[in-house]
Amino acid sequence: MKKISFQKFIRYFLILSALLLFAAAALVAVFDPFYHYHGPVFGLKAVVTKSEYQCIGTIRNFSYDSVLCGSSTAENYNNGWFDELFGARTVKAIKSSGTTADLRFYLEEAFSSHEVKNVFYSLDLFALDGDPDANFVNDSMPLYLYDKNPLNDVRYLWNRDVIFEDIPYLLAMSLTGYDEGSSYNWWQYKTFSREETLSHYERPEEVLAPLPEEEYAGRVDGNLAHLEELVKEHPDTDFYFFLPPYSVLWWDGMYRNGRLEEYLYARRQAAEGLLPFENVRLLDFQSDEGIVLELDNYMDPIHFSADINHLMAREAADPDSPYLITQQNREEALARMEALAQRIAAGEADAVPGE
Amino acid sequence: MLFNSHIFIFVFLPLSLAGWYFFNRIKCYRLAQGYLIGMSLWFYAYFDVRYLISLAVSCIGGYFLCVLCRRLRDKGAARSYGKLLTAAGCLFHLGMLGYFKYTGFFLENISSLTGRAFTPLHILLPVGISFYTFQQLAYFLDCAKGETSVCSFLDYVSFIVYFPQILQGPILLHGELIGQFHEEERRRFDAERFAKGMARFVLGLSKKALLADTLGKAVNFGYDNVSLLDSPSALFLAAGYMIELYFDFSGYCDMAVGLGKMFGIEIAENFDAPFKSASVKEFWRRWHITLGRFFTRYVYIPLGGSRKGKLRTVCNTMIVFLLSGFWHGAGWNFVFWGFLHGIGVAASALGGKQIFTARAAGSECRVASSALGRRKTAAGASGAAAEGLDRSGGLRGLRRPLRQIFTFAYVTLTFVFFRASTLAQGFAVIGKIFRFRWNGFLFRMAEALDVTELYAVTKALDMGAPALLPWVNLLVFLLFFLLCAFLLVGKKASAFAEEKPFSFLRTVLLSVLFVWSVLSLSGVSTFLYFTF
Repeated sequence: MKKISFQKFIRYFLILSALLLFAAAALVAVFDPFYHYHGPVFGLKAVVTKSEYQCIGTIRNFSYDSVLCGSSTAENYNNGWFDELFGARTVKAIKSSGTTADLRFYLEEAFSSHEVKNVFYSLDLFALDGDPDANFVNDSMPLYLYDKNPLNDVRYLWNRDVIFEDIPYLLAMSLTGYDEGSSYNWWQYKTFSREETLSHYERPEEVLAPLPEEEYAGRVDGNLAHLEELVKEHPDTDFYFFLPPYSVLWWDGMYRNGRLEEYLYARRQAAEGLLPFENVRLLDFQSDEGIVLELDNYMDPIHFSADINHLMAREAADPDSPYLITQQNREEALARMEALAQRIAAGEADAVPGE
Repeated sequence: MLFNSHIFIFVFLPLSLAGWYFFNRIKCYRLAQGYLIGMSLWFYAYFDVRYLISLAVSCIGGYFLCVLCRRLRDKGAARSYGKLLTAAGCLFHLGMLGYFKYTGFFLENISSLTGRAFTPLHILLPVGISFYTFQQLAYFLDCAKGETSVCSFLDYVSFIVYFPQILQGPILLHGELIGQFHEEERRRFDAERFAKGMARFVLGLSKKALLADTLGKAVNFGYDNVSLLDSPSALFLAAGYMIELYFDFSGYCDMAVGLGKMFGIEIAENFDAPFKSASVKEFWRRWHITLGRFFTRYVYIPLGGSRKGKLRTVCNTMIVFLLSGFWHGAGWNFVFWGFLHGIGVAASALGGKQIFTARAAGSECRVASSALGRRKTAAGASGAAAEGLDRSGGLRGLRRPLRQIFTFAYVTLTFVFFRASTLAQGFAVIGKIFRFRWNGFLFRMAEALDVTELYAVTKALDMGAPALLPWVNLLVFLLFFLLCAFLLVGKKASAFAEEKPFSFLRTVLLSVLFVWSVLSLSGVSTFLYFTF
């Protein structure tokens, strides 16, 4: 075994470590599985499965003209549907359980670097209930990918998980025919059935008194203000807002928790606030009893199957869609949902358990 | 700032070393020492700048009390006011610690006794306060006894805030550190010492980042699902935590010792292959050595040590370990953990003539410092024990390997209470071990280990032969334990880092370990002893 002096040990150790660290960083920078520096290379596919890590990179570095934005209810869309229906090239901007401020951040990043023709926005009612000023509050968010500070990129470049998990996964998926449109999809791993949905619902024993309007109006209005500002700032972009169809169980739970009035208020404010803009189309799937009362469409009280997502995409492309809310039919559409909510509250809807 | 962070390794450490050796090279020694203090304060304040306030109050107050001791002694008034001042000093230091660490605990217990509602207080607990309080308390008590003269304020602050030891110890004695700041030889760059320091730091970093943090995933999963545990998984959970804690804390101490060597200011060893112990008493001579030394010198011996009969010795031992438990955390589970260790050590008294040897300074705390030109020795009441069980304990008749296994088992079971969030959870885990049931939860714990480096293999198996995957996970889990066991009984990090001469192969090995550890830092974790 070759013996070396202590001076040489120090020198060799530093040189060797520097070389290894450089090699690790180069490997990550070249393959760039989070698309922090560039899009896919060497003919590899855009394998996009970790929204917190990859979303911001794809928004900044992919080529697209449309953005599909939302929380977990938007994850099961296939980008290809929108590409086909709208003649677009779509990228997803997803934040699971994201706040409106999170999604606005993504959209502003997209607008700052791309000409965006369409925004497809999943308008989740529970996101309208969040703190309008809070974004990326979760400690687990890899914010080093979000800021523009190159120094903290070391957490990405020197990352064991990226080297041993994400790069091999990128290579393996590219070789096995990954569908690039299926970014962040998870429906294929879940069971959608009445039994499964009911197993995820614990019906509150008590019916709480409704929250007074002053408790939630500020939050809801603050979140909607984010969206109204975005729409106003980008008059050449078409905004499609979807009101996603939560199951009857979700509405039942909201009623029993005293939140029903709040979400009906959010719907009304959204319609009143957004519809005056010419570049806005608002589609309401929440009052479609064929969807929300049929629990086989769901895996839990909120999340519906990809077939429903597909239906929503098709309806968005249809200028005469029955789901479209306009200034003319606004009151009728809102009243329809309010009536359904009252039926659910009164236990008249067939699917509510225990009724 | 954590040792296992990018900012520490790639910014703080190079800047600190460069400044330290630059000022020493141009013979600005006081400036060098001031620079080291400044960097240490940055290191400490990196967590939260408000921590500096309590540190400053503690340091200034502590130094003032030491100066007061000297003044009283100089005026010959020590006899009249000495005890009063000693009590005031203890009250000051323990009061600081008590306020920050134990206020909530006391209020909660008082409210549960009186039945009155308790509103939790949000008192910011400064990191490392338990360690730097004890270090200052030791110095103050030595001053009060007239066993040391008062150093300069610069030396005092250096002694307390020197960054390799401020967060989690080792709890140093003034003689081990302050003298080193005055040795010119230590201010010069020494390639051998520096190289050994680097090697030791890398080994400590690897213990923490590659072993402790990996094992921690399975352990945390187990403790998050105590109700689902069966006997084998509960057993592996207990052993897993014991091993995780060892690699975590001894990894930190290896890094601290390594950093000390890199700066030429060396730090005492805190571990000495504790799992080779053949008794609980010996365990405490090898585990967290400097804490045991503190309790021996400043609690056990002043209480009378082993000089006042068997019963009193047992009582003193129990007091030491109950205090040790309470020091580790403001919770009844820690107190109970201390109680169990007290029982373990005192058990030797039941079987022999002599409980503790009277050698207060008996257990060796090998101090790397050659500043004083000799090996330091220190006491061990918590370390107080090897001879007790070894010579006279009930385990005397057993062969040493059997006693080692028994000791490991006992210590492992007691540390369940150390990790548990409540006493009830601790008993739940112990109960699961002895219920002798199997429900396959071990497969889930094995899956939670989730060794990143094997991701491609497990993913391929998941797609190709999913039925095999749980068994492969279990195999990896068992092999990981085997690797840990091999490292626990193998050569110590200190021996590996000190072994001469260095070879090229060792350089490559250490570089790979270093880079591998750096790559593992992105999910930065804190140290388990961090909040004690």
